[in-house]
Amino acid sequence: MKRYQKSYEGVSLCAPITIPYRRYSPETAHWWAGAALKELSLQTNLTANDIDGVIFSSFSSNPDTVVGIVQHLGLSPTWMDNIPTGGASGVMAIRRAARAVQSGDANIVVCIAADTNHIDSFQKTLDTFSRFSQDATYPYGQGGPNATFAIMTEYFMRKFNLTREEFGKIAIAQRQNASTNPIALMKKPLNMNQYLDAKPIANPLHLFDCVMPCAGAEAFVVTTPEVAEKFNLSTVKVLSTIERHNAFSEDHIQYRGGWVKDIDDLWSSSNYNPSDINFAQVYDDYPVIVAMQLQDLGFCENGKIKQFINDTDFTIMGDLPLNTNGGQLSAGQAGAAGGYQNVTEALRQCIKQPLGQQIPNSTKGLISGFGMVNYDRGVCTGAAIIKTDTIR
Amino acid sequence: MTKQKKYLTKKNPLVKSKINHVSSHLRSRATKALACHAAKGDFVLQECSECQYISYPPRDRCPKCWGVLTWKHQKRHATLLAETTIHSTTDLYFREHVPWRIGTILLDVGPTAFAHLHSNVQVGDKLKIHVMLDRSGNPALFAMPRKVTVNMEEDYQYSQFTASPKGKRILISDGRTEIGQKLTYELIKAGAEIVYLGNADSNLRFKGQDSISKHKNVKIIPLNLLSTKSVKKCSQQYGGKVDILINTASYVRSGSIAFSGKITEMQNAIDLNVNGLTRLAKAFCPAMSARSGDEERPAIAFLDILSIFSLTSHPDYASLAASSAARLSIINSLRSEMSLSGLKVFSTLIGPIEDEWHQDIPPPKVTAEQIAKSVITSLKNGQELTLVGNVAKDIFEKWSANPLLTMRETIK
Repeated sequence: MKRYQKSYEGVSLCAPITIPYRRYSPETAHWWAGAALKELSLQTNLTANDIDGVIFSSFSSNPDTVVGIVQHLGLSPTWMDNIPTGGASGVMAIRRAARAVQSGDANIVVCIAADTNHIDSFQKTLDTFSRFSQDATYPYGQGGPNATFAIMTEYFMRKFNLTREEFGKIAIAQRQNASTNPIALMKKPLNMNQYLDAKPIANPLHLFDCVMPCAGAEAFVVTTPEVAEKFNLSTVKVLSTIERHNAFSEDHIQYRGGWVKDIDDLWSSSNYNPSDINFAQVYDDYPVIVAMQLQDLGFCENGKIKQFINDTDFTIMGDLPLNTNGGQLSAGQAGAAGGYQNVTEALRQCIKQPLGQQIPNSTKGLISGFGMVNYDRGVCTGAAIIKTDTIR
Repeated sequence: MTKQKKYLTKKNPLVKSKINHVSSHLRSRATKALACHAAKGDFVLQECSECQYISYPPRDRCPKCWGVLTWKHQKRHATLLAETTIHSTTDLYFREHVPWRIGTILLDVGPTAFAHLHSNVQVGDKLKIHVMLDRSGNPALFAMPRKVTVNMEEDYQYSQFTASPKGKRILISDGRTEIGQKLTYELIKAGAEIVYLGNADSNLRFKGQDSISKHKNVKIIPLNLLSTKSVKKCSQQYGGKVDILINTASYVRSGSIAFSGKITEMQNAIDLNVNGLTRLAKAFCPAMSARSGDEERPAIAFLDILSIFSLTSHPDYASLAASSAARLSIINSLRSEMSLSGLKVFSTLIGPIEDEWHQDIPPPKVTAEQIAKSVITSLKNGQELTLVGNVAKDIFEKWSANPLLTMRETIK
């Protein structure tokens, strides 16, 4: 049955906030969430009394979820939601907050993703990540998702005839984009030889195919154009969104994601084509996922991803600026904040307040999320097409 | 052909042994249930009792129709779809063992799964899948080549899941019996480097002593399980060089509780079968578990041979059944304790033996040779629980289906 998605009329995305990441932090997820609220209040003059909706995403706030954060940070919302879906949580937050604002359940929704990274928190997150991982992934020596993605990468390379060079091109372009972002954790230039000769992690993955876990926080506000005007905030419109979970469970090994199921809805609701898009902020825990998204989201014909990567310049001044803050591969992966940094960077490019270099023409952007390798594949996918509304 | 492992003769005493890490213990209850089947070497997967859909990883309800799932024997055949070699991992156990190969397998019966890979399998190959118990005692899938090849079980990764006697130093607690001696010969045939054979009383000669004491791979040593002092002394001398310990000691006397049995027989049975096992475990397991992570000469297994009547009781062998029940309980406690150190704990459950102490019991009975061969197989396959003989298999099957009924059936 075809779904007719109602428009996102009357919804404004604004106030992207990024708290500079740190490799390790002795602080807690609560501290990082508080830091995001503090920065938000400094930039927007929003107070606790103004905020009547809260969305929270984190892997390291245990045992607290959104309710613990609300009480910890002295908020009193009329609406709240906890979105524990990692790399897909940012897109999902947009969708949920937008509908809450449209329906009037909340007027100003603050979406926060915050994660700390203690010396041992990566291991702790792994230990409790999912039941299937405990039962059927970690006993195989993976110590994290590297080996799962290695198998996916190996399969994807064979299926679509890719070589490591194509993935290297993505990693190198993102590193070049990161070089303009003062708060990216990895700004040292990367060349193809360095990429290819890096330390092997799990064949065919090498060091520069893997993100670096770190601590950080991201936040943004979803509200009405009227409120945005009152607080003098630049705004971005939502044109269309999709979300899908546990798609293609029949595929033996993941080589496509849930986007494929809903891609026509995404583009037709937005009234744009991939070629109209000025930039893409896609989830990038590993280059193979970037390649998978570009193909599944329709930037190239199915099966032509190799040629598309070779023909496209992904740097900020290129044909399709991709992950312009450096993405997680170069800026760092701050847990669930990794699923929000694609949103905040996209908003910043649209309202011309980038952390690094501005894309010359940046009114129409695509955000894509991918999350929760619960067992052998990413379960959650989502995407949104956004457009600059008012720059103040 | 699998590359053969080299065995060193002497260990440098100045080199610090590797700490015995084990792989992660966290498992759901459903996956623990899989371990019970893996312990017997069975290959089972969950099948929906309503729509017959076969699923993996272990779940609590069918993902197709939400029906109830039951464990069913399945065909072991699969194909290797993709693979990776792990070079870097945060897992402390696997860090000691990288590079380590795993892959995604497609089982002929439907599901895909991650599996550890034998070095002879490549992408596209047809596989035979085993559910093995890893060093934490938890189940893991292992992909073997479909075709049997030379020295196949010596594969490095596979050997982490098994306790093959090849090149190992093995202690047998009681060498005075036929079982102890048959086992010694079989272990040597399977490549054991040396068998230390326990002798409870050096002044009393025993049957078979002349020929076995002349064997170059056998050393008869004083070991009396009834004496804490003797067991301690033995462990001080041999605890550091025993890789596999096999407890063959058993005190068997016929006799009931009220009429024919004597309290002294119960005491003797408890002292050898229960306390003897405990003395052995207490004296040897700490030293063995300290070496279970050793790179060159790891201690790998503790195996106990005990009566199947441990499950059911037996009115005419009341003291044997009672002490065996305690023995089984001790082994279960020990297994849990040793799962933290990676030392594998095996139980071999046997039916009545063809010997002078089981004259009242009609056949079928098991021979010492059958028991010895089963022990070797269970060690080679890493199979924690082995049943020897038709009586043991029959009782176990009935007991698995209905334990209370099986106990009642032993009443005349």
